[in-house]
Amino acid sequence: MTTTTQPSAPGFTGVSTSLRGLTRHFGDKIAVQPLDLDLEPGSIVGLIGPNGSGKSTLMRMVVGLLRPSGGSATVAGVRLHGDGTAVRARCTFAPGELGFYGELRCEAHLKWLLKGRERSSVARGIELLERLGLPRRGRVRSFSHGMKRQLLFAAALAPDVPLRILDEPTEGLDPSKRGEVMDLLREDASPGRTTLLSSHHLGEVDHSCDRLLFLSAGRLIADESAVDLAARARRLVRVEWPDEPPADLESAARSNGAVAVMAHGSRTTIELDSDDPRPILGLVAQRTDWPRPAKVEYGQLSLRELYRDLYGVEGL
Amino acid sequence: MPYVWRSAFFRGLIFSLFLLAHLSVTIGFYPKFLDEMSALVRLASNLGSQFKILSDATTQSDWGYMAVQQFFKFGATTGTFVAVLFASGAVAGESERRTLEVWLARPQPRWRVLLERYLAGALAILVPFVVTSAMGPWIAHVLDVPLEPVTDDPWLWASAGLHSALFLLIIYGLAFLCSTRAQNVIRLILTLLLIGIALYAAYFVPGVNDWSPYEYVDPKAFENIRDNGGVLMNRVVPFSVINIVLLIASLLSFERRLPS
Repeated sequence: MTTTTQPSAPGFTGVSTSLRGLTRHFGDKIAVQPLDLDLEPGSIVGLIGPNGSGKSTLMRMVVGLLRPSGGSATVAGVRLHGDGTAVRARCTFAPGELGFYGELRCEAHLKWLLKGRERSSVARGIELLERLGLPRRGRVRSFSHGMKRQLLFAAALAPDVPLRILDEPTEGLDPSKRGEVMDLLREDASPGRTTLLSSHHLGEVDHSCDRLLFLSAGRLIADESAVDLAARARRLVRVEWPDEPPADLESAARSNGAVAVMAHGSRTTIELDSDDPRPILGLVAQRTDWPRPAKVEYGQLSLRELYRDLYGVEGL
Repeated sequence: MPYVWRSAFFRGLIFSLFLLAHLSVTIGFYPKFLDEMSALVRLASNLGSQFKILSDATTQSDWGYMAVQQFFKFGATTGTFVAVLFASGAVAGESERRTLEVWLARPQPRWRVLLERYLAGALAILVPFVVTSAMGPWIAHVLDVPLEPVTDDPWLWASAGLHSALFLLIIYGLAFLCSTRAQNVIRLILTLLLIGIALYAAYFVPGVNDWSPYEYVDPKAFENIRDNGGVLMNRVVPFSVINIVLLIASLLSFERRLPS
């Protein structure tokens, strides 16, 4: 196995990305609602949301492939305007859609993808191809879906830029390759570099990202660090009632340390303000006028369940 | 060689071989044509006024024959197909094969990316036409076909080739402009070819033939080139201006093109 040389990104320290009221409409449909966001350097940020939530549209706007309908953006220290060439010189983008010139060989295609980048990026790209086990001389048309995805990933990781934007970089990869790709991303992290990657599989990115942004129907519904999010998940109590939940459940729960109460049919998810579930569990056990719960869960819920139960986001 | 230019080079090479083959057949057939001229003139006279004009131009001189066979018939008809085919895939084809997004994701301005593609395709039409046309006198010499007195002037042949090529570039530019907006290449090609065939057919219909753009590349235009001894500025300049306008329109249109 070859060792991949890490670019130092010395000149990128402190270069941040900020979006202000960035929005995009397609006719009457709002793909991304006005969004304010700051991405600090040195972090890996996961953009999570189900299909159609606006992740790709947002990423395309940030790299200048789609003109925003409103708002402004400074990306990797450069103001986004016109066709975004100045922004794309400071960032790489791996699109979610796979489109290739099948007749080209892998290495030639990599060079084509790196056209306009610094000369050293080609050597680093070739190292990445070897590390990912892609045949340099193979025709791209003979590649599987996963191999094509890795070729795009290698091209996005090769240049020495302060911002990498990766749309579904692990889509279509087998579990071992997914792990390899995420390992490469972690190795690539440096104090001056920001990586924004999207996924609609929460479990895939929650361990690799420092920060998670959740999009739903074009709206940013949550922006949290992975640590805080895991802590929140641990503070969830889920109660399954035999029928409808009690009518006064929410008010009773809030007076016993609940910060959020969400009901979905016979299921109620309660988010607590502390790690101590005893007040809520005691409430549920002591209220004789309430039906006896069919099931009570605490400290076992995943992030996926957190978002499904608290925000109604399905498909993660 | 960059991908766009290599692809254009091979397309231009194939087009050159077609033009060269046709020019050789046309020149080689000329002695036999002279033998059968009276029968062909009678046939054309019976087909209608437009065909009679064509046959008159064809039989006036060896240059008239060449103008009709190579520059009008082959240039205008096959050239229309070639121009539409070369241009339609330029952007719509990338969109259809889903390469448009990776194409645009590179750190290059859109205008430069599109201009490179336009020039590659345009040169794949212009260069073969001018170069193969200029080879007419040499082909006549190789085939030992006497086409005196015009065939020994490569400049006249190249001028006629340039005239045809600039006309075809207008069709190319229109197709290119449509390609910057279109999603479906096959639909675009069929639509443009249908319009092209209709306009070409209109040239043969008395009364409406003045509305056909193919009138600008009919045999009379090539007679004028011969009489002028070279390019006609009153045609070359407007053709060039139209081409530039179409290119600018394509660049502006492409600026707002969605990446899928």
